[in-house]
Amino acid sequence: MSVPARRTRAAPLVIASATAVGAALAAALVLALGVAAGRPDVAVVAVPVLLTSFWAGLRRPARMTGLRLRSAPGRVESGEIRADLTLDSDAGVESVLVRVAAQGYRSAEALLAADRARVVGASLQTARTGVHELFRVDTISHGFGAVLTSDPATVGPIPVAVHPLPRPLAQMPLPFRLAGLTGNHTSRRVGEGYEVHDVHEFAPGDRLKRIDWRVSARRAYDPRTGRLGTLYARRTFATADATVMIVIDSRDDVGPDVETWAGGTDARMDAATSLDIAREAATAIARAYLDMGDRVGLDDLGRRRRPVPPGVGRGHAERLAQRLLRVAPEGWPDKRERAPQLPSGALVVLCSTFLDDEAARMGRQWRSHGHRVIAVDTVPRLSTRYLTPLQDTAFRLIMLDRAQRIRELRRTGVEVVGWNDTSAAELHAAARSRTQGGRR
Amino acid sequence: MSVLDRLAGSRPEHPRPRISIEGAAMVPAWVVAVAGGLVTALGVTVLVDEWVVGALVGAAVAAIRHSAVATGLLVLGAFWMLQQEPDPVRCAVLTLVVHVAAVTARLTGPLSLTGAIETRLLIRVGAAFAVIQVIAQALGGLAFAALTGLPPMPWVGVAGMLAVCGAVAAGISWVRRSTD
Repeated sequence: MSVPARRTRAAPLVIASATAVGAALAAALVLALGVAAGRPDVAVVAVPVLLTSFWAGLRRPARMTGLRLRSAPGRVESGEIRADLTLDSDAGVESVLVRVAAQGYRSAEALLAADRARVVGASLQTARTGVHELFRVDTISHGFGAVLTSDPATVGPIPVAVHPLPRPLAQMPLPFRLAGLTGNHTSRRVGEGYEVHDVHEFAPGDRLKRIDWRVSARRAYDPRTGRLGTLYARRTFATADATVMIVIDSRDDVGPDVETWAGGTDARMDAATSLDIAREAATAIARAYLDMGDRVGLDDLGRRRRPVPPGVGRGHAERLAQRLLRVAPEGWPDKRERAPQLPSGALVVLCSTFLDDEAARMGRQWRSHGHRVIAVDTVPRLSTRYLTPLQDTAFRLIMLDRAQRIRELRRTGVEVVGWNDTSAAELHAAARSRTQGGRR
Repeated sequence: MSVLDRLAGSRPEHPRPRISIEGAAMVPAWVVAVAGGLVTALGVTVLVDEWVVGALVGAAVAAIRHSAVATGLLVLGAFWMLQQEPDPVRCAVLTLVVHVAAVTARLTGPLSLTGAIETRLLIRVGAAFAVIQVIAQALGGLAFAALTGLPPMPWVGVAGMLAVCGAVAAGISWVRRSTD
């Protein structure tokens, strides 16, 4: 993604601040008082303030500070996010008051020396992923002694695309039926491959290099004639690739604090929400399958738009990552009557909170169509600490309903894994298991 | 949840994460405010010989952090000095205290107490402060020389003025060299 940058023109210099004018007038009054009373020692007290104003007038800057804000170059992942603020100041500018803010964060303020052009960094920590508007910067330039000040100038916020942290997964479950004629997996069909299926009599269509001379010599050698009778050839299992469809349920995005589920309060930026977990899971699973040479596609239950068709390669991984970054809840989509059509025999990875029946219904339909379905539970570790008794009761009812829904999914043959520290082991176990309905 | 939060019926707010500004070395604004307040309190205590008054003025400078406090101190100090006999120490201390209060307000006024001030800016402002103080104190010295009569050796005054000008020029060049 291109690195966004925002810029403002150098703010024009405005007149002296009201407090500076007041101080200069008071100092002039004291000076006049001292002179009128014949007390130079009184007049001297006003000298520092008058000298400051005088010096500020002499060193009046031609223009105030110009600003340019850009996010740090390169791929941005959750954790620390940086942005660079370039201050382009005139020689007469003594300092710049900088205030950096972002939604969900406490702002930071600093008074910086600005006598020359310089770059100042700003950073924040986030556990969130996706595209966020971050780093709104407000500045006020000060001349010498803050006698002259500029109008506030604002730059940003800038859109920052935050990718989930990579998470390696070792062994992944495969669909019940492998497709294609090449790939890294061994299918049940006989064909070109590496794993031996059996040894049988040479037949039309067998390649000569498949003849197993040792077996032929052992079984078909006639010692009386000194000739071979029937030739035997080795047959192997064909290789194939898997088609995986990752389906994200972007209809809701719930944070760890259950009190925020009703709206009105934003989820915290230092804790991952369900959609962040879904992004991380989808990215890691897609990466694992693509690394194995399989075909991976992406669909979104929350949007009626064309899915990303299954594909392979690094470019396709980037395409999936970009689509995942922009997954976000949009209104309340119409209820689907039928599950989206998926490639035949594809493994379905369904990432959802299962807080309502829609995603679970889709999962059951796909399973009934013969797909292997793996449901990834994306609800984060929840905190109910601040719920009122009424809210707590409602929450318990919702979670009971959800637990019942997940039990129903398991009963219909959908494998359910949570996305946590043990999810890699759970996926490994799913890869080793022989689920009912599969032919392997 | 604390007892007060329970009584108030509100949830305790867990502080939101903070953005950080990464420049050169920074000093918290509250440290500068407290330091300015302490210097002001000490100076006012020396002037009026009442530590309570000094503490109140110092607390006002540190807590309010507005130029109006320095301006008020200037006007009140000038009227108070008019009531007193001319005294070089009193004049020097009041000049210093008013200037410290003004610089403290200028540095910390625009910031919240959690804000920070860059050390390079503090050095630059401190150097300018020193230059202005040298000029003001020199003028104070000349004022008292005028009040009490010029010294019998005029060349001493001329040499003093030249020394002051040299010190000012050296200070300005040092500021430019050390902060660029």
